[in-house]
Amino acid sequence: MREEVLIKNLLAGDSSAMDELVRMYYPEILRYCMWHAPDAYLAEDAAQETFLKAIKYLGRGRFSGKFKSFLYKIAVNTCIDMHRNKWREHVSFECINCEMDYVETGFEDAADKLMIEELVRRLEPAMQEVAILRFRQDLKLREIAVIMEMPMRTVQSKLRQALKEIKVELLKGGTADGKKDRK
Amino acid sequence: MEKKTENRIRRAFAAKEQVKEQSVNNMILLARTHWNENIRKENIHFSRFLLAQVRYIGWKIWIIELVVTIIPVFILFKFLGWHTITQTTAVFLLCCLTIAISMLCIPFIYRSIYYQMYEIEAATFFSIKKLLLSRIMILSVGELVGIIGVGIVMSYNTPVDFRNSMVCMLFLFGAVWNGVLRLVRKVEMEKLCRYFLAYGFGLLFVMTMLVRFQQHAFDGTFYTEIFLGSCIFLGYGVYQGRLLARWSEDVCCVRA
Amino acid sequence: MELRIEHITKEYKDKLAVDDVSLTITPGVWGLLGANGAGKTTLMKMIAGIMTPTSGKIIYDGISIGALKGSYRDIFGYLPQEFGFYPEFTVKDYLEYVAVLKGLTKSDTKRKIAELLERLSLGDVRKKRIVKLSGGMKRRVGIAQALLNDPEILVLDEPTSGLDPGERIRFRNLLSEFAHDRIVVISTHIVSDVEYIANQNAIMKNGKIIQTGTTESLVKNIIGKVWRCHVSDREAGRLEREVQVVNLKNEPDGTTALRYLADEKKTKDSSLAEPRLEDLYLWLFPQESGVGR
Repeated sequence: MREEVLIKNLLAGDSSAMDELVRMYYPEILRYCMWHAPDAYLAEDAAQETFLKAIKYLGRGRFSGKFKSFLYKIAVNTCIDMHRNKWREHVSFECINCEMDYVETGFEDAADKLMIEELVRRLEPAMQEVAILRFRQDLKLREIAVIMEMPMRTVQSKLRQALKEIKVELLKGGTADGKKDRK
Repeated sequence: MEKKTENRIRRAFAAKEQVKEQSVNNMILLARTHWNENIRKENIHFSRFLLAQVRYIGWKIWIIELVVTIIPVFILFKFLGWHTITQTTAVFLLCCLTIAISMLCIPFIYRSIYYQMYEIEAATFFSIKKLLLSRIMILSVGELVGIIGVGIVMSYNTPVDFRNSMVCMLFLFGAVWNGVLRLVRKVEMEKLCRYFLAYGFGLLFVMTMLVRFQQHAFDGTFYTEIFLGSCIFLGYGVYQGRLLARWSEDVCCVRA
Repeated sequence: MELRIEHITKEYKDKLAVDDVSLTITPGVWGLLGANGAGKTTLMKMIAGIMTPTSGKIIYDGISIGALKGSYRDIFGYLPQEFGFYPEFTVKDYLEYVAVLKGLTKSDTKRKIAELLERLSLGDVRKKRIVKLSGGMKRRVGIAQALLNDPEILVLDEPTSGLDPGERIRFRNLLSEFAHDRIVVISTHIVSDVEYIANQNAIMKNGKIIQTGTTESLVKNIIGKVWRCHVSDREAGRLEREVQVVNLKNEPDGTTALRYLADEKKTKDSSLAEPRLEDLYLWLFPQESGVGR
């Protein structure tokens, strides 16, 4: 596995391996934090904190499982923590020099996107998390099971439930309401 | 039919955002700095740890093993005469020796509990399971060498088929130590000793029954099957060993 | 650096050893006080990562210790209440053995052992067999092994039992020095051990944490309940039966100086005394310890 080679090199003293590790995983972790955080700055904050925490344990190379799953575990906890503390009373600012470049899409796509996002946000927290990790972050079921510390069966059933609920809502017509519901 | 919904959701979430290069570069810089400031010393690898345990196993257990291996052979030679050894009795003897010696190792494996060291051992980096694994590895290899030695001596002095005896012995060796490994993986420290003993006696019982009721068990009739069985045990043993040596199975089971 | 204990419970067939304990531990010395059987040892084993809780999570710096496994124990030092030694070990052998288990390299081991032997005044006995040492020395060896890997978190279960007063003071100083920038958790039923060095205390009873706070904030609970008086021997006898006596001293003139706990004063000449942690302890756990003798 590429990440194992990189970590080995890093431990042997090759610090350029760090660059590649960051390039490998930072974008997707940042994307993940973007879902949970009120705005892009805070998402970046969370993603950075996640990485810095993880790096501390790279030096020992003894966390369980793959580095990617380890990163996600930390990201999940970091976002939960921040929800409880830092993000509670945060006022979102207009993102001028946003860290993300948005690609132009068609109007219909945009409306559909908003509706689906809304429906996913309405899901019960564990279901929402599983759905995000699967459909937005494209993780495998096995990885999700490790990250959420759940058996695979539970992950599969939560996923099925989530799909069912969303399907029902879509058939009903969903919400035309595009407001994002930040919990 | 959920597939349609799934695809719709995936499309909605499809990455339309790209992370700015600046953000990635910032992260790289932060990461490098943090890494340089926070490197803790790298720990020794499991192989070094394993080697270090040889010293701590000490010499007593080897003396005991030597004595237990030599005496039966000596008795046989002196009192019964080699001519009384048939294929079946030779294999039975080797297998019983295997079980006996492994059971002798149990008190040594069990030391941690007896001397109340195991909590301190459990709270270390390598912890108790890897410690037990390393003891098991060293002791089982020592035992194997001893028993092969006995097998060689026997085949010199009797018409016993060396290959067949070794294969049967290896099969049982595999059964014993795989059982031990599995117990280490699944059972709480405090209960290990009892389970070990029960398992050992169980195997002895099975062996005795086989010798009494299935005459052809050890005379080479089932050579291929037993050989395959040993290979399977070998594979499983390596698998279990790797699991224990890996960090994902790393749970210390300590009761109050 | 923060250790968060979230709703930790440990249930056995016949009892609930730890009952929904939640605590956030920050750098400094934390005293975990409670009588024997209160659940302190069980809680400490779970913090040490050597016992799995029935439910709940322990999170170190945002990462659950279940995910960290070996890495967590790597930054952890633990000394259990009861511990033994292999009979053939000398002090040096023992420390080398534990150093291997902790993953230290040979050079680090050598350096660390030399340093710890000196700091804990064990240099003279390094070649002596541990089983032959006194109780106090054995405990010092135990403390040494906990410090081998320069832990960020140090958990000591009744570390001063068996130490004489001089050793206790040396130990307190060692800890104060060590606790700067680190998390140290000490469990004890000897309150004076932690009274002066602990920044925060948590009091445990029947598996639950009943109070937490600094020494000052905790003793506020019993302001106005601690009394001092001088009485005759007979009066002293009567008082002992009525209230919880913290301290009793026979004066040379035949009277007895008493320190006791009560909602109201029991003798005319009783005066209020400044409450201390051991008063609080006896208030919460009447007659349960030999504190104050």
